[in-house]
Amino acid sequence: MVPTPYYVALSALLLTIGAMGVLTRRSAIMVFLSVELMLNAANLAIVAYARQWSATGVEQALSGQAAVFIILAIAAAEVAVGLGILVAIFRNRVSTDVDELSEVRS
Amino acid sequence: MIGFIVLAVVMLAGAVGVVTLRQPVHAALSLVVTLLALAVTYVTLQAHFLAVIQVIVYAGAIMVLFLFVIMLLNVEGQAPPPHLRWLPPLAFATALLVAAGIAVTAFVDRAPLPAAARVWRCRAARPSRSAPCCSATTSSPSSSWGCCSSPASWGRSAWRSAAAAATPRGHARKAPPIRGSSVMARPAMAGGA
Repeated sequence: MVPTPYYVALSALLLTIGAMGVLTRRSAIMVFLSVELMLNAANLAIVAYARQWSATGVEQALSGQAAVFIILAIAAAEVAVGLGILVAIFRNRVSTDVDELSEVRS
Repeated sequence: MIGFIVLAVVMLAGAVGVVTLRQPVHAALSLVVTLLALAVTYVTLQAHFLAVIQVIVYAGAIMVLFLFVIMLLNVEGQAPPPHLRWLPPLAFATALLVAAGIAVTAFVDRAPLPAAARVWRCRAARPSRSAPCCSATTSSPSSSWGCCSSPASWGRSAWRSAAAAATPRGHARKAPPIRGSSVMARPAMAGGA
């Protein structure tokens, strides 16, 4: 059985790689992909901690996995909404570069 | 442990591919690799239902949506502008620093468990559902945690003595922080896999 800190460290690495993608990529789709990576990293940490709880009882593990399940569902909804917004932006101005999408600010 | 290392390498390679590949389609397929490796990791974490859901929802539905939009918008990779060349190395260094910090914290930090968590752990560790827990029978300081100290999953004896010292009568007292994570992590780490 691999101990929990290993999974948490892997989750931290995934999260920071995803954050790096959010900060460095310019296409909005790539930023979105990196956000998905960060969400999955958080899920991995939650599942690892749920297994750590389950060393003493099953119900705690299921509550942690239920949280991950809800996060999965919300991520699916978020992707649908976000990609819809992305397509709408692309139809208005033929670019998805996040550096150019600043008209809300001015 | 070997399986975990292989999975971690595949997962991190996919994640690096997501961040570095120029073509969005390649990056999305690289994310699929990461998500599938994550699903296998869920199986190793005893979360079989989540693994199936991960494959169906993420690798199936969400990534198909992504690929659909990428091909609909017909975006292609572009090089970063010359005045931002310094940004990726700086972001990489910062991210590495943050990752090292989180990883070190995961291995080193021993955060105290809240009182409610200790009660849960005790309830789960009792031999049967009808057995009294720590909060139920608080006759004497030694027997207040006696029902909890029998299972083998309890870990080190230091935990046991700390728990007995922390709760002279019942669970309602203000207890000093118990080193919770070390209890769960150390025996497994010593055992190896």
